[in-house]
Amino acid sequence: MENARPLFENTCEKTVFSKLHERYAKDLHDFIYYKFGEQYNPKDKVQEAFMKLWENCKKISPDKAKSYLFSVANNTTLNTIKHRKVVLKYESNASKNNSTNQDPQFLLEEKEYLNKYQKALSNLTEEKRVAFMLNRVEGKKHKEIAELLGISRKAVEKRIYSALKQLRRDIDGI
Amino acid sequence: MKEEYLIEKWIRDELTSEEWEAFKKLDVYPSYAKISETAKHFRAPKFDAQESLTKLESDLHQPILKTTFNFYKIIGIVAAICIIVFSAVKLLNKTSYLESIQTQVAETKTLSLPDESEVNLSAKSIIQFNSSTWTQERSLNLEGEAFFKVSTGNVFTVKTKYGSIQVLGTQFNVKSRAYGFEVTCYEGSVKVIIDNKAYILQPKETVNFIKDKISNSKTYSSKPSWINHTSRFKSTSLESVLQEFNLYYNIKFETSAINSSRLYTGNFVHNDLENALKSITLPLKLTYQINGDMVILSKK
Repeated sequence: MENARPLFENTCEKTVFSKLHERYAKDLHDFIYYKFGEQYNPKDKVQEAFMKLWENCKKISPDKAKSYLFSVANNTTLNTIKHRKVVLKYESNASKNNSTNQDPQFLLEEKEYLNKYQKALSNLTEEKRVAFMLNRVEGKKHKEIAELLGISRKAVEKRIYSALKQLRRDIDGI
Repeated sequence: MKEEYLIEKWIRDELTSEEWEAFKKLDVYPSYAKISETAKHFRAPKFDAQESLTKLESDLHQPILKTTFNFYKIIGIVAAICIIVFSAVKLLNKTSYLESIQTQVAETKTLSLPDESEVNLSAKSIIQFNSSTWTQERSLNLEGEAFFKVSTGNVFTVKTKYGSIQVLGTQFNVKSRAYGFEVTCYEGSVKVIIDNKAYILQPKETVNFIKDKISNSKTYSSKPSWINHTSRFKSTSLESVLQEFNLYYNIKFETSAINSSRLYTGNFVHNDLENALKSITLPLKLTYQINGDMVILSKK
């Protein structure tokens, strides 16, 4: 699909624009969320990026749109950041099912584990965290991640692998 | 099988069933499995693509965004053009654009040049200079009479139709009239160039150039007389004196009954017509009669 000759010269066509949104909006959102966390409003960044794309639609062909969207969203977020630690929120099983019949010892341990996990995630570099989360949580294939980020498959694997190792080191203290 | 190899294959989702068994037996397996599983607790919030698109479309339908964008773009282009044209004009006109200052009959002006040199412009006079190149070249054109106080710096040139005056930093008066040319130095030294010949003036020295004749004289005042609203003459033809008179008083002379080539020595004031007329007529034994803006001179 990505090698197909573009049917449209630019993205000013409404149908083209909607297609691009359908295809990339969620990935763009997840990318910004895992990279920068919730505090920079990933949803707004997605909106901004697509607005920019529409404003400049005459200059951007559909096959260039993806990398345009990702760099715009990335840059606008970077512009608002004074580098802070990224903290991703978690949802523990305990809070999900209100059942009281769980062992309090187990609950405590789980909470501790999640807190450690959260800290370890913050300590990952943005690159590693994005690749790891897209793969493990969003279930994206290495090839897809490579395309989204504009890097090689090998690089994606390397990031995920070293993210895993670092997480284990931080969480289990090995 | 190597631990690292298995983990890599696991990450790639390429483990065969045998490899799976081997992987599960590894010491690190529970740890990695838990890490991989726990990651799901940190899932990004749900993203509603439909809602996002709807919001986007409603935002895009507001034309403000697009028009302001174009509006600023146009303003930017216009501003850029203005700047380019302005600087081009400035550059091209560097040598030809002259600032010009003029005085009317009986009017005097004091002005500061860009380097803080001072010019006292006498009545009915014009100076022209290029303010944009002034710092590189201090040079001006003069028609009429002016008193200069030049601040020290590079060469300061006054050009007249008779010749030019060059100084470095000094005070001097230049008088350039139809009937002749006169330069007086009051401070420092002044170089006057007439017909490619240079004359150096020391303080209180005057050079006259009247009817192609050069003559030198001395003055005893520290300022030209016109600064004090007086014109002073020494053996000057009455014709020239009356021409000078016309610079300060808006009148016409009727001189058919007298000999206007007689020489006059004396002075007249610039702010009292009757008084000034008396100053001229009494020593020459003439009388005057004022008739509107006409003054008739006759023998006593």
